[in-house]
Amino acid sequence: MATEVAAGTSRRKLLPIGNRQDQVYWLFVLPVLLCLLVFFLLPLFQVFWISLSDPAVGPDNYIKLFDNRAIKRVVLTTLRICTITTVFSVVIGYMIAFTVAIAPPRTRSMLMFAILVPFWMSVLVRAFAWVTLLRSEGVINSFLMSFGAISTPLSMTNNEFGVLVGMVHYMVPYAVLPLLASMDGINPSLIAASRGLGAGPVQSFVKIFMPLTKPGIFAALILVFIMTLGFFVTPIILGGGNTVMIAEYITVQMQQTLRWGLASALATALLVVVLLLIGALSRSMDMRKMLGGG
Amino acid sequence: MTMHDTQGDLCIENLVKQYGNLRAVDDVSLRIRPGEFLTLLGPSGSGKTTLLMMIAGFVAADAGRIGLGGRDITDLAPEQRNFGMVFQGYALFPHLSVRENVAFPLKIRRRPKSEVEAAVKTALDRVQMTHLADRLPRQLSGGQQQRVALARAMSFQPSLLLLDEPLGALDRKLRVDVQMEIKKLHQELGTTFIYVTHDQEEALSMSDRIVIFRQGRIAQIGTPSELYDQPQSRFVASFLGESDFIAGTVQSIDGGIARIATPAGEILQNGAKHPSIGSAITVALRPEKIALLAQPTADRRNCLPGRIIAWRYLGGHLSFEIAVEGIGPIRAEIAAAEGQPFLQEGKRAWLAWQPQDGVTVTEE
Amino acid sequence: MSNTIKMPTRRLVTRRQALAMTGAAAAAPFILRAGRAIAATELVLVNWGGDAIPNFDNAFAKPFEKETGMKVTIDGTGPTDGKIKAMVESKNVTWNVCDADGFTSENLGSKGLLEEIDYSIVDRNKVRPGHAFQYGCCSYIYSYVITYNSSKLKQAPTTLADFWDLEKFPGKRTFWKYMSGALEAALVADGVPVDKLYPLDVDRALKKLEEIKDHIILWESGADSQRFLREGEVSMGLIWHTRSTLLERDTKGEVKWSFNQGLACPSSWVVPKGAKNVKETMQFIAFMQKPELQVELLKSMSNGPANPAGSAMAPADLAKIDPGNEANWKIQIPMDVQWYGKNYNDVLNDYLDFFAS
Repeated sequence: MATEVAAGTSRRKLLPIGNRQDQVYWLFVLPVLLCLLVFFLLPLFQVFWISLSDPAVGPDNYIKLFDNRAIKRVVLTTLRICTITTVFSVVIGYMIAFTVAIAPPRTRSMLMFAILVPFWMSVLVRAFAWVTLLRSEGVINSFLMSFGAISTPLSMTNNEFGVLVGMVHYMVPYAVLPLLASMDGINPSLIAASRGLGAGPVQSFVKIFMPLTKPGIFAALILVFIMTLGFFVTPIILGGGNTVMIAEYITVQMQQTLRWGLASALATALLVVVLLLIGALSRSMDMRKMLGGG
Repeated sequence: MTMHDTQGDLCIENLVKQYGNLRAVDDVSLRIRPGEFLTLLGPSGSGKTTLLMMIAGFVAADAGRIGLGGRDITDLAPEQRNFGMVFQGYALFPHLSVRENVAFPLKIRRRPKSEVEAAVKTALDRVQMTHLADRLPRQLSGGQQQRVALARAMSFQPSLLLLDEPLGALDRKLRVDVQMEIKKLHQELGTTFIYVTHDQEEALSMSDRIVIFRQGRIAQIGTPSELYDQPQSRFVASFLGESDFIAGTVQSIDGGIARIATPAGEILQNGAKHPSIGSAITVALRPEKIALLAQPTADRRNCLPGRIIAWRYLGGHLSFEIAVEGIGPIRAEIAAAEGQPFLQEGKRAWLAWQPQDGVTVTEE
Repeated sequence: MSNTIKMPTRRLVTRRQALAMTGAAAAAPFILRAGRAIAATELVLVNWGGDAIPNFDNAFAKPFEKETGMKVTIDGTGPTDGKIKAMVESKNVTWNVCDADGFTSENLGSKGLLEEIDYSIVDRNKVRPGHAFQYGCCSYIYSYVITYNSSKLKQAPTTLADFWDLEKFPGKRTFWKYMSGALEAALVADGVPVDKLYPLDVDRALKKLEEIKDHIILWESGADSQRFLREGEVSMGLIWHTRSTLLERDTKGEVKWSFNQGLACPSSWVVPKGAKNVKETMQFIAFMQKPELQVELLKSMSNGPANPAGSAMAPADLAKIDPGNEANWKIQIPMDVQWYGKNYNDVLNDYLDFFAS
């Protein structure tokens, strides 16, 4: 009797290890793990191996990452663009998320729709849409010149500015989601309490609302930064060859100059940086919550 | 309309708040004296919280005005009213420590640092929370959070403290303790408290005066005993404590005593004012005023026949349910010893009470 | 087939096997397809997609099937150097013949990634002298030509040096992102005689490019080059003559171009190392040397015939747009395929870095 009770309790308390339920569980997970291994981890390992073996076995490719002038430039360009993009995306995303957070329900669903629509639009389409707007005879320049605001067209595309515009536009929705999740988590009565205790709207925002969205801001910064690190299409279309980021550099080394070792080393380094950032992110917050999930 | 309020009075005049077709606050006028503990009591949706939010400045009035010491504050922003406020669920700032929470209203008012420290200490001492000053709100129990919320609301010595169901999240035993503490705090501070609750016991035990709300309107204002002993309406009589109701027709009035015909027999009812002869009348009766008799009485007491339907033993007393023909079930609370002979379903019993124990109420 | 999947156990997994493993799942259908090829030989020609798919099909694949019964599939994937290398190293070569740059045959061939051309089957004499490479045979001629938007420029740029004259020819210029043409243009503008361009003095060329760098944008795809010129994003550019032809037609002559000082380049058919049915593939390459088929492609794509006989038989209106036409050939600069083959990988990195800096 006593043993039965004990067994019953332990089953409820611990994870079901070693019983039939457990075997069934692993049976379901196994195919996914195998797929992950074969189609994800193995290729990843190959990339790492190539970086150490092409053209010769050794760490040469990694040494090159640090003393190759061109790579240094590409890395710096990438970091600069990603940082600027991240800051602007999060600032703009914050304003949008705030607008959504305080909007009445019907306006909110309309705004959310407007924010989510770009997710269904290809990055190519969006980049070309910006070309249409920004190019020297494009919508914006034509408009400004039509009433003499400018006499020569502004150079807004085929340079870093164009790349930044395209990337910020792409990334803003990604910034909005974690920010909105953190804003939605704020108890509205806290703001009322702040007002009731004598703080004006601006003070309440600065002293109460903003600090409470810090986890969201942090999440948005890292999420956007990670995603921008891998940008490829937008810099190519809006950069006009003057803005080369890491992803494009890797592609050129893979497809054109056949420096697979170097490309793999760069890809591996990029992956490590991203993993470190994700580590920092997951340590500071619940990832699922951040992305608006369960 | 002009403000006739004396120094420090909070004066609410014909206040209206409309949400779509619903009048959440419907032409409410009220005067609150300095230092008073006033409770806004009513079922949920009766408008009590809306009125509090209008006083606090979070909800704009559609009509009417709010005056404070002769000054019109109807359109003043919440932060300009200088009222302390304790929110439902406390609304402590989760990213600030207990100390910082309490200091918040003082820092906002740009009080000198030394003054802030002193005021925070005083406020925390008052609620016995000094030892937990460096904790974050989530590290506190519900009762402790409640105290911090109180300390924060009074740290800057507001002339008026608004409390929105502050005990709603506490369990029953703790609630009674905190009630006492709030009451004590009120006496020490001399600040006006406006307290919203739907708990009648809370209202009765703490308030100087209670305002009972019903559907956006004030049903009755008075001290706890006035409201309990002299309810003006069926609603108030049943909302505040339990009441039995006996309806009938006025037969005659003689020296302040009305003779009332009910389906179960004739009863007498004392009162200063009675409806005219021939009109309908409702008498409210507290269950504890009723005595149970085995035989009809010959004295001046009212006496109606009934049959025992059910009873509950409640420690010191028994709660009987008695069917009275033509009137319906009547509840009576009888001392446990006196109730013993009637613990039998279907047993015949006579309900007796003094004519001055009933209260004439409107049917509202 | 078995060696594709076979995994030697005595040493560590090499990159090639590793690639084979990654490719295993993706390759499964190809293995099946190759299995069928034993019954009826089927060849795969890989080009850069778009209109080139139906046009190559009509010009080459259909006539070849009609004559030999062998089916040729046109695959528009785009045979970049990297993709050819990946396929060869995966040891699962499903491509037979690729539409590649002339110098690609030298570049990849020297790395052991291409089959040698069997000139006992393919005819050396049906291409211009020097266009029968060891690892590739000239497929068609194309040219990087001076093209300009006449609504942006008052007068016509006629020489490569004109790209450096910002006063006379204002506006942005465009060169190819992958280098061809830009270095030659810089050296010509810097005074190097046209017949002494190669070997290219890269440092000198980049220094010259520095002078107008802020006015240069790079086109990545042929469509980019058309867009830049059509939309007035640039006033002039050095772009593929095939695109210039389209632009001139589409803009009703607003965009103009000429072969003068164009960089004439041979494209080449290359065969990835380890391709199946090499003999049949060589037969197919030989078949595509027929001048009348090449004129078809000149007509549909403006691709200049590799076979001089094709250029000779082209009607006058097509001769105008044929870089291989005798009159046009004379005024162009022939690309040194050997130099590109040897130096492309290194110099391209310098070139891209130059623009990215």
